Amino acid sequence: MSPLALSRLAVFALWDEKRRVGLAVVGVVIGVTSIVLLISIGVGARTYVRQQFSGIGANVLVILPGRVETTGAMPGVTTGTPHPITIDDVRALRRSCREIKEIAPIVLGSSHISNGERSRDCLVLGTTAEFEEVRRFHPAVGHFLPPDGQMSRGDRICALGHTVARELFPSETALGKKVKIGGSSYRVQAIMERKGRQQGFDVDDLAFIPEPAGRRLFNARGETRVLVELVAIEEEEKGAAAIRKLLKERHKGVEDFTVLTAGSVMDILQRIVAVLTGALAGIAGVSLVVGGIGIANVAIVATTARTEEVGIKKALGAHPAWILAQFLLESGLTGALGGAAGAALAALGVALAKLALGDALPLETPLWSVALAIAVCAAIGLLAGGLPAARAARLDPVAALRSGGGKK
Amino acid sequence: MIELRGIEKVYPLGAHAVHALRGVDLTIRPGELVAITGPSGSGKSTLLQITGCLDTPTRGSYRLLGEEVAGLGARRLALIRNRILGFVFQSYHLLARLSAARNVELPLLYAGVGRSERRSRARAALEEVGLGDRVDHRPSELSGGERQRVAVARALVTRPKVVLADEPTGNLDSRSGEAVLELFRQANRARGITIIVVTHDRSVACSMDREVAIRDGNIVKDGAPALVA
Ligand SMILES: Nc1ncnc2c1ncn2[C@@H]1O[C@H](COP(=O)(O)OP(=O)(O)OP(=O)(O)O)[C@@H](O)[C@H]1O
Ligand SMILES: [Mg+2]
Repeated sequence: MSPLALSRLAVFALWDEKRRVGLAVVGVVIGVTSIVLLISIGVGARTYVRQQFSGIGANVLVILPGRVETTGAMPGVTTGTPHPITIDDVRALRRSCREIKEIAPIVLGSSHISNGERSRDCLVLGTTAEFEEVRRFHPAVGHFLPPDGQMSRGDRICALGHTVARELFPSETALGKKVKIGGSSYRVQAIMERKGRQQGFDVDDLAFIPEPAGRRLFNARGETRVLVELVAIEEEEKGAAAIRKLLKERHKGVEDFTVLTAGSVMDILQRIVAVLTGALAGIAGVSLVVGGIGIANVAIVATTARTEEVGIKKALGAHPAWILAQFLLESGLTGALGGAAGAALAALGVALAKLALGDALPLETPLWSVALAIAVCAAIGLLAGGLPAARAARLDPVAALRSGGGKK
Repeated sequence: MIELRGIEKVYPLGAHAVHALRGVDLTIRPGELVAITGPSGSGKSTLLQITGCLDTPTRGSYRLLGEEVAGLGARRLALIRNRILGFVFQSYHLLARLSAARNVELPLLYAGVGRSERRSRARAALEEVGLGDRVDHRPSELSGGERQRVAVARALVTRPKVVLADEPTGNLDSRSGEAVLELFRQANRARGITIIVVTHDRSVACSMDREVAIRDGNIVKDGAPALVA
């Protein structure tokens, strides 16, 4: 008998039992849904971290004012009242830390920007020439801002992101033109290359002004964050320690700032993912077991209710292996069906979460996780169906036929 | 073709075993039309099942087409049932979810016959039993007599050497029963197929060429039906 004919018989039989099969599959569906969701979150978290540090480079640290609680809260949530990280702190770090290659202060805020009638709100970064190097973000045309120390609060020059430049100057180049940012006039001396979305926001939708002007615009006492590029990637922990030591000294012994390394962000995320993993793995495990029992139940009921069928097939000369294969195929298919349904449900969940969360967490459902889920469920089905199938295959044809007696 | 020698069947049932057959000797030649008769519980079905390789004897020798089958394994017996034997049961034993045609195709499927040949042979077999217009009906959409004719078509479609039937007319009225018997006689006459029918209906027995009567697991009479009575 050909495998095709065999699987057609199996599908026939499943269709006959669709209600019972459906119930049995519920557990498997829940299990698979949680597994695939889990993998999606795990992969998403990893992508998130990669995105956070992409374009910056792995040997880059971020210094934030305030203490970041590394116990569960997402990075960026600060507690306590910090001393500001001043431009003098930045200069001191640049002077005395041998591990530091470049250091770029950033004052960040949102402001109104306009060219005559055309205006919009966008994120404005007050920073220095070092930003260009650390972030590997260069102008398409013109020259970026001057280096730290070579500009004053009075400097009225800016660089525009690709999107901002296009929106404010749709029909001509922005280079050399004047724009108004927060009430003051700035001359555009660079338009940045196109980069698209990074770190959760559109870096083409930014405007850059000198760091002192930024502090004045946002009325800031210190930097919003400081990007540090280290000399060597292996220096990450050493560099972070040196920075911490120096800044702590300058802040009167209080560690009221946070040094984020790629590794530390990974740690935090991994802790979060681990908690989620535990919960979901529990659900997944329990429901896969329940699902397996469900399939086993259907298989037992099927082989018992269909004893007559087994008897008939045996009388007609079906090889015992065929009987075994058919029942195994049925329970395997049942499992795979549950796996596929669960994967589809998880994909739906991921799609909905994406709509709700936007880009906050880049969830992904890798194809291999779906394939894995279906394979695992098929295996569970085969295992659960194995015993009843083996029993059916060994059934004595005479006894099996007698069970069906009476009418039919 | 069928040689049973000293066949015994014992069902171990707790303390006292049931001796369903107590040393049966029976020879059936190719092309015979045989009725097996006897009171209820005399061992008719047991004898038919052993002859049909559905069951194995506790003791004795059974040679089918010269091959000793008493000690064969389940796989070999399955092959023999598929290639050499055909069965018809009192309660039809059709698969409820398959159409008449699919039911008839089933033994061909197990024999490894290709799809298109399966189709055409099943259709031909159904036409032969007068159900050419019922091929797509499910068993539940057929009368008892029609169901039994589907079962006959299924038994004949593999071109067996022997067809074994256990009370094939037991659930049918006399007219449908007669139609089924006529199909057997026709297969016997036209193709020389050996037919063995278990029955306790005198008129059925009398329409066969030979009657083997059993009582308490022993053959008590063997000969032309009229003489046995
Ligand atoms: N699986 C079994 N286990 C125990 N005893 C059995 C079994 N099958 C049959 N028997 C016994 O063997 C004897 C013969 O049974 P069998 O079915 O051959 O009778 P029968 O002649 O076909 O009767 P009926 O006309 O009622 O069908 C009976 O006493 C029966 O109870
Ligand atoms: Mg009987």
